[in-house]
Amino acid sequence: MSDDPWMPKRARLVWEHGTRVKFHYTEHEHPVRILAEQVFRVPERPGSVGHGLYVTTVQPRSMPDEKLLDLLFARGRPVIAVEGVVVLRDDAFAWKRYSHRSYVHSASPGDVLDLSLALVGVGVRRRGNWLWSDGIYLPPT
Amino acid sequence: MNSLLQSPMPLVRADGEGYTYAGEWLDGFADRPELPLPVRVRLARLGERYAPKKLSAAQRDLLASPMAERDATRQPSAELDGFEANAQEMERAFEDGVYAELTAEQQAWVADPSSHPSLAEDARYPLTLGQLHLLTGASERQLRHWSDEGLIPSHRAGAHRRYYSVAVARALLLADTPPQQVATLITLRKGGNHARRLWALIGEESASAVNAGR
Repeated sequence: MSDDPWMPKRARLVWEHGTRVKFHYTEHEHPVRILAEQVFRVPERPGSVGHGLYVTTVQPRSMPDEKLLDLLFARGRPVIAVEGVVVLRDDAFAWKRYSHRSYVHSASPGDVLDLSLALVGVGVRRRGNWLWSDGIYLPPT
Repeated sequence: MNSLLQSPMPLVRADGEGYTYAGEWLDGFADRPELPLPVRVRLARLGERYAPKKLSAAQRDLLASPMAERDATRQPSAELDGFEANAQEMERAFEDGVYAELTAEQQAWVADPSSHPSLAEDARYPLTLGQLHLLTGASERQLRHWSDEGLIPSHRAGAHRRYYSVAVARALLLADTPPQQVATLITLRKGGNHARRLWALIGEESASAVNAGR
């Protein structure tokens, strides 16, 4: 169930319905901008296994923040680094699995990835509550 | 729907069988001539990827138009690039121990600037210089100086500087630091003879003791 006050009652999040998606966690205002522009710039600094777009199959609220931070980032980050999430289709890119539940789409630093055909929606956690964009929840039947 | 979380364009559904747009959950990717042209182009692009056999002649024409090419090759705005740079800076700030120095209240302001009593309910990143001043209590002149000296990161959006969460975290600590200590910090960062002398006076043992006590 969701704590989003805008979400219709009895609606379910798409991944609770069994649809496979990938999650890219980031700071909470960042997904709002990504939703508006639907592109992603590959960071200059490499992650655990080089440059690219890093995603996971770990669903929001399915594990404590500290555990999620340990899973996602080779170097430490504060909790605000996982207060936003970009939800992509499972087949959005050619993912390479590099650890349990972690995947990367390798690309050169500075590359711009077009998310417009793969973006399902975004979520942001404000004051402890997750809010979702269209597409993240299934309409009640 | 929260208006901030409204996509300006149709988004593919997670099941790939249709799209969501303006609060609607629709099947397929059929052309809708009543919609603005950029939206129709995006729908045609989604149709080409997820249901290519069902593309209409009008959609094929849209895909052949320069607008489709432009739609597929959009570049991030300076604001979006600022968020990406901030994510990298966040890692450095965490390694430096910046977040561990903040109080719980300050951490809440960093996470959500609108939770600060001096900022409006709709205050969001990136912040303006004026908003950063209200949030940290440091004067705009001080903030500009710290930014020029590289103590707080800022990002250009046109002619203006914009500030993200790492700038808030660092500025909150600097605002709580006596001016003489900030001046020393700037000297150390600049390097050169003065910095060398300060490092010599601090001594390796003292520096290690500070790090060990972190």
